[in-house]
Amino acid sequence: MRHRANNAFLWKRATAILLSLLLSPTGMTYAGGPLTVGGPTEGVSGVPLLWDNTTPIAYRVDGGPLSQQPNGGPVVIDNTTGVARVNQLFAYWSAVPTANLTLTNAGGLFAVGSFPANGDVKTVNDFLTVAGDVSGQAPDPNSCNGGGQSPIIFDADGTIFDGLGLPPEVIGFAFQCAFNPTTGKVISAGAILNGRFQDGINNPSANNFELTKDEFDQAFAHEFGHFLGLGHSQINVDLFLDAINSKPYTCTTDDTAGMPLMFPVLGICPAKLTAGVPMIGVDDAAWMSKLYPVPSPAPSGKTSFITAYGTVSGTIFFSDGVTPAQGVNVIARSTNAPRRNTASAVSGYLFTGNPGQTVTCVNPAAPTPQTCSNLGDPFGSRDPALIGHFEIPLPPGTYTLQVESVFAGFAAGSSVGSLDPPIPAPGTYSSTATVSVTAGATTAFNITLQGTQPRFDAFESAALQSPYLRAIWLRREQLIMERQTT
Amino acid sequence: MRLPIPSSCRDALLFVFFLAFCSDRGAAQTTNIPPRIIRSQVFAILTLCICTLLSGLPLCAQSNAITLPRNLGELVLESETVVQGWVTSVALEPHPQLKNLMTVVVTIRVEDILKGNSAGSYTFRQAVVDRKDLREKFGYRAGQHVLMILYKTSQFGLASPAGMEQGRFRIESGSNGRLVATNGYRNAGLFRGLDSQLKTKGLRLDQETQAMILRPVVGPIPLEHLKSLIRTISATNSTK
Repeated sequence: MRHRANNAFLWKRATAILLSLLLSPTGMTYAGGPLTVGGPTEGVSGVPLLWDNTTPIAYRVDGGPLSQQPNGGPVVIDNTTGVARVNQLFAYWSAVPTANLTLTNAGGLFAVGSFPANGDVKTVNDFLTVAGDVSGQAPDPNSCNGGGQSPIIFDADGTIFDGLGLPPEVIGFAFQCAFNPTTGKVISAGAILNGRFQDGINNPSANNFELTKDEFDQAFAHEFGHFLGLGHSQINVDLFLDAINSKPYTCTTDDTAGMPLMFPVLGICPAKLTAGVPMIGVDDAAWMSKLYPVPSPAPSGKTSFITAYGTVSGTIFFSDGVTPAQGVNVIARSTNAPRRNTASAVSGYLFTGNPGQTVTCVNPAAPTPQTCSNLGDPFGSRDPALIGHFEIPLPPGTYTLQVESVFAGFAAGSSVGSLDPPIPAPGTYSSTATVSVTAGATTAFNITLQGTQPRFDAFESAALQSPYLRAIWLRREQLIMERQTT
Repeated sequence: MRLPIPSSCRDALLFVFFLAFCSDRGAAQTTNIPPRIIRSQVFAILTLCICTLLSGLPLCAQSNAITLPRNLGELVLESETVVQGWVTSVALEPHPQLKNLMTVVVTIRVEDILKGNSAGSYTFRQAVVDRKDLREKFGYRAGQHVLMILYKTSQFGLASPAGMEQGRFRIESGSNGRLVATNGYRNAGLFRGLDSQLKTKGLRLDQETQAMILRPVVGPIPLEHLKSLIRTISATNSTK
């Protein structure tokens, strides 16, 4: 009996951990900073896809309740309260003093087709009408995919999620709708919130789960970060690893504050507001500010980015000190509060995760999706100089740098960095060397990993792939001579 | 150190080798960048490609859902169908009734059905909400070997894996030749709390499977153990 009670306790604890919400970004993922980076044909190569912040970013909100109990039961969170919560969640981001973001609730939803202005999105058909033609071929100009509006939709009782065939544990999703393929500026995006998680009913056996207000809000503050163009970050991942391995762990206040809102999983530590720490972590604020920097001189109420942040920039190398390493998570930790004041980036975050190839296309000179097996990801730069490159925006201070693998399970919608799935860091780095960060300045800091495998074995090298006329055994000799003379 | 390269990856590698040639003959001669540096960058791309390809084919489904984690028992219990097989076709089609909705229609040649009824082949239709999924088709590709735990089909004929990425397993050969399965979260949290749930129901597992759920690791698990567990769990459900 005692054993069973212990199990029950453990299960409750596990259930609490289950509140870890695996959060997935909208659209293409180039995380550890920006969500999406422009590629050869989409946006500006190597430049993150962002909103045009020279004018306010406008979103529009559903006219119905945020949450209602099933089968036409009582409204649990009415529209006024729901809209206020959405506004507050966006306001967390616009309140970052060094982020040049003005976010505006432009009112109720626009009329789209048969859907009325300021209407309540109640059905799958309503949702699809407001979202518009996802193929982008003939979207209604007022729809999200038509670039007409950025809707925040309340599915009060989960009817829309059910109709779309989504399983009951889906809390919501954000989605990118339209962007300008030339400028790389986002035109519209949207999100839908599953009010069933806030209906006051916690009955897992009936597939009705419940989250606390703080948990639910944190999930959508995270999603709104994606809405604005921010990707995932991995910091204090040791807590997550303990959690999934059922090891005991404790989140200190610094741990909770230092774990980014944009960490791919929520709920490892208490919800930030429950723990009394700011919704936006140091890493979140740093990256949102880098993507949307407040210019100098700063307008009233804001702080210019260059007076508040410096940057550590460099390249991660294999042990040869030459070959850049992609997909390594780099974390800068303040020497004063290393678990709290910390920010990160993934090496090569601007470079594509899939360069593709055209060699085996039917006609390599004119590659098409129909005649090529892998054209690569249309997003992300192809500039080799960006392989292994990282930049971390940081408040002035003294930091140490650490490197680690991106957690192997952070793939697909929860990916961190441009490699999806991630790869283990090819080597290690351990140093107590500190880096001094000064506002407005960039500090160069390259890292050479220790213990990486050679690029190839002793009998394979770049030279061996060269179209030299010499026989292969003679090329090896030549290579040895080259090494001795360089 | 030569790495085994799956045949499906060879064309990508061909391209990288092509780049290596080009960088030596062209770029290095027309720019001031030392050839050694260019070669190193090419090899970084090569390394990147090899590592990416060897770490598994992309499974980039459901790029946009916030999902509550569930363990295997919960995924199986809420599911309507659990099927193992080979993906034979993946098609992007407009929904026959719902305007504006594109769907990915996946057909699987059934090897084994662990829950539900199906013979020969099984087809499901998954809704596309995000544009990325339109291009990626959720990462489904003909020829993939999968085990799918599928939630019940909606009134509009739409279905998704239970727990989204959690209910979608890729099957591959493990290092010892045995088949292994990995879901979209690399099996993280798949067995969390499962032992106590099974004990509550009085279920006993074989020693190896029991050890697997008590000492979970992130990464592939033996397919036979996964299937054994699923059968045990779904049998419990059906005898209720």
